[in-house]
Amino acid sequence: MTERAEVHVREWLLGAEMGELREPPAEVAAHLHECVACSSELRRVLAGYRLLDEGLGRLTRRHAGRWRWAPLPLLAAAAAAAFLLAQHPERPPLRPSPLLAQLMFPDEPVVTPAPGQQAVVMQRNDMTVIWLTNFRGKP
Amino acid sequence: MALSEAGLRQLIERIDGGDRAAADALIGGMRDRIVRWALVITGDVDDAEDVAQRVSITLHQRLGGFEGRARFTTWLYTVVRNAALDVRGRSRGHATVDEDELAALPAATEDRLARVHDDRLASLIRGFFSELPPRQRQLIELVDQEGQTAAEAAHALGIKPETARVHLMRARRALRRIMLDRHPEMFE
Repeated sequence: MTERAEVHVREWLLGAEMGELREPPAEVAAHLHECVACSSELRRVLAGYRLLDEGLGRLTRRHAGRWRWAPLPLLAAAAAAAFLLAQHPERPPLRPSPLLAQLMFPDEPVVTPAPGQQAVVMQRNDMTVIWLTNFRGKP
Repeated sequence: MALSEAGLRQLIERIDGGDRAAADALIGGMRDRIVRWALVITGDVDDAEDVAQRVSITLHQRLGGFEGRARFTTWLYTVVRNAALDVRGRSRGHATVDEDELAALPAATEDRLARVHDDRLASLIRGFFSELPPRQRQLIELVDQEGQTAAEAAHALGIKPETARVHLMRARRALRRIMLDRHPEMFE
C-alpha cells in the first residue's frame, strides 16, 4: 500500500457515485482489500447514507401519520346526500347527523362537507385544521 | 403504497373523468414521498408537515395544472419544492433541537421516549444537512437516495444538467466529510 494510493482512494471516496461506492472499480477494490483505514471509511460513508435514508423514512412515516383525510364514511354520506338531493330537489338535503358521526368516530373531528365540497382534516398535537374545498377534476 | 408512473397516469385519467376516489388514492399514495421531499428541502419536520398539507390542497384544487408533458413525479416535485421554499422562507430562524435538553428530558412513557428518539434522529439528519444549501440537499435525495440520474434531477429542479453535476459533486464531498469527521461513533 502506498501513501499515494491511499490519498487517491480517499479523494475517490468523497466524490464517487453510489453505484461505484457499492461496487468499487478493480483498482480501488484492490486497495480497499489491503487498507483497513480506507475500507473503514467506505463502510462509514455507506452507513451514513443508510442512516440518512432510514431516518428520513422514519420521520416521514411519523409525520405523514399525523395528517389525515376526513373520515371516508362522512364523505360517502355527503355524496349520498348530494345524490338524493339531485333525485328529489323538492326535499331538503339529507345530511349525516354530527351527533351520530361523533358517536361513531369519537376521536375524529366531525366534518359535514356540503355537496360538491371536500373536507381535509389535519391534526397536529396542538391544533386541528379543517379545509373545505370545492372538488374539481381536470377541466 | 408506492405508485408507479403508469399507475399514476391511470389515476390521473380517472380524475379527469371526475373520479373523486382516484384523487384521494393519488394523494394518499404520494403522501409519504411528499413529506420526505419537503423534509429534505426544509430540514424541519413540522415545516415538512405544513408543506405536505399545502400540497394536498393544491393537488385537490389544481391537478389540472399537470399537462402530461413531463413525468407526474417531476411535476409534483416542482409543486412540493415551491411550497417548501415558501414555508421555509416564512419560518427561517426557527429554534433547533438542543441535544443536552433532549438528554435531560424525563423518560416517563414509551411514547415520550419514542418522541425523544425521533427528535435525536431529526437533529442528526439536520446535522448531516447543516452545511448543504437546499439545492444540494435535493440533489443528494433525488440522485444518491432515490437513484435518479443527474439529468432527471436537473429537470425536476429546473436547472441545467451540468449545473446539477457540479452541485452534486460539492454536496457529496460536504456530506461525506460530515459523515466521516463529525459522526464517526455512529458507524463503528
